Parts: sequence; structure tokens; C-alpha cells
Amino acid sequence: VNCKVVKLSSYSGTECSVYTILPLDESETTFTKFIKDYSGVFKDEVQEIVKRIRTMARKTGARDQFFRHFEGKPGDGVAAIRYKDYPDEDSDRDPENLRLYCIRYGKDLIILGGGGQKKVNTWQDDFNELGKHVEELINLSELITKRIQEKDLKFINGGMDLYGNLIFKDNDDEQ
Amino acid sequence: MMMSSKKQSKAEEYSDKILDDFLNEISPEDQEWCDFKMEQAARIYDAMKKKGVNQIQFAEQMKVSPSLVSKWLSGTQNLTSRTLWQMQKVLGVSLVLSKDQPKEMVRVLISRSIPASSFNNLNTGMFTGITSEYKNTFWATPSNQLRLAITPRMILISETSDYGTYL
Repeated sequence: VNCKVVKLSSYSGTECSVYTILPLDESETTFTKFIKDYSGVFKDEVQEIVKRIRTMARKTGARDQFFRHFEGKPGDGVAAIRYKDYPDEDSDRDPENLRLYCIRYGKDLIILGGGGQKKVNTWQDDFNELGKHVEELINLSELITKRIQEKDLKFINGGMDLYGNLIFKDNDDEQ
Repeated sequence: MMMSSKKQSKAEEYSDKILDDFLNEISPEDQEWCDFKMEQAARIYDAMKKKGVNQIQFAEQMKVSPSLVSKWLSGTQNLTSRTLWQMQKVLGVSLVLSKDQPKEMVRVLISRSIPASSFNNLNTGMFTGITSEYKNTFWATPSNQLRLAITPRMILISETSDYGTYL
């Protein structure tokens, strides 16, 4: 984990703030890469995920009913925003299953990570494709929790923003 | 890429052309449809909580599988009128209508659950009986049996006993 957590103002709203991860040695966020990588073949699915993020940000908040939970370790908040296209409620068609991983802090704040097409039952079975994104968020969640416990980081604006040191490095203990 | 130059206190704000362009490709209509489905799912979930039923119990009462309830609550599905009607019966939820729907439809839907005597007030206008305004929401009491919460986007209709529980 060598990254900075940044706020996506254009994706945030009054009901939920949207953050993402900017690797320190790169110029694009993980969410930017997700859009770049998948908006070609899975344009509709990526659009649906982005629309859902916008709805949560502006209308509903990041309600837990809109996420697939327990993607990481218990209590780490790592979840998945997924879009399965069910054109009709009784449809038997097997939908494309594109998912974007995130850390969810209540209804008020999400940190978007990377994602991809889910082809196997669990992300652990597909480490190259999806597992690396989940692992990254699990590690980041641990570091954020530690920063909060050590009072180097806190939530402000009623839980809708993070305030403090948002740069994370592998040698985090030495900072 | 654009970054603000504040120190490590307040989160830096990030934007780039890829993210902005992708957002701009989404039509307002498509976004509104997504909003509608997810807000509808949120109302169903809230009604379940209010009624004190979990997903398994709700599935049993609706005579469907729990996985189907999970899909309903995800806000990705296009629910049929029949499913919504059945949900109302099971959950006892108030009718929730889009502000853009014609008033005639509002009257028809209301007539299914509200005594005809309540209509006299409503027919003179949906905003009869406005009593207060809070957070861009007007609260109206057009009859003893009926209360309305009118937001910029929605008209929430509830019986008096349910007043105030949906916002």
C-alpha cells in the first residue's frame, strides 16, 4: 500500500462522499483505471455502476442493501458494488457480473478501489484479476483504522469526510 | 489530472478527464431511472424494517425466494406493478408516487386505500392543507386520514398513523 486517498468531488453528493485511491507512483486513480479497463467491453455495466454511485451520493446514501458485504475480513468494511442486469424480475438469463470493490463507512462515505469481471466463486480464486483489489482494500482499511485509533485521522462533516494524514505507505509504522 | 494543493489535512480533491467524460456520457434520463429504482428499493427496505420483517420472512410472505428479495432490494430490477401491489399488501406501505405522474393517476391510486370523503380536499389541489416546511419538504394534512410529504421530487402519501416515518 503506497497510496493517497483522494476525494472525487464530481462523484460525491449531499448523501455520501466518494473517495478513491491514488497510487503514489502513478497519475491515475484505481477507479480511473477501472473505468478505462472496462468501459470498452462492459460499457453498459460500468455505466450502471457509476449511476448507482451517483444515486447513492445524491439520493440514498451508501445503504448496505446496495452492496455485497463481507468481501474482506470481518469488520473491515470491504464490500462490492455490483451490477447484474436483470431485465425482468423473473429472468433466468445469467447476467454479466461486473463488480467494483470499495470500503464502506456507513451510509456517508465510500472509498472506491478497483474491480473487474467476476468469473469464479470467490475473489481468492482469482487473485490476479480481483484478489489484488480486495487485498489492497483490506490492507488500506487496516491502516485507516489504525490511523483513526492513533488520532492521525478522523471523520468530519458528520462522517462524510476524512481529515488527517491520508498518505499511506508500506512502512506506515515509521511515519 | 487536477489536484488541489492543500496539505495533509483535508482530503485532496481529484478529478481527471476520463472520470469527468464518463460521467457526462450518462444521460439525465438514465440517471433518473437509476435513482427511481434505488429509491424505490430503499423505501421497500425501510418498510420492511418498520414492519419488523427480515428478508427471509418477507420472502415467505411474498411467496418468493430470499434471493429474489435480495435482488429487489438491490435496486437493479424493474419491478412489475403486480409485485409492487403485492408488496404494499404485505408491508402495508404507503403509496409513493413520482411528482411527475399525472394527478389523475394520483387520485386513482389514492382511491384504493383512502375513503372517498377524503377526496374533496385533494381535488382542490395536491397541496391543500400545507402545514409546515422542513428541509425542502412540505408537510400537508388534507384530511384526518391522510398526510402528505411533498419534496421537490416525490409526493409521499401516508395514513395519519404512519405520519413522519418515511423520511
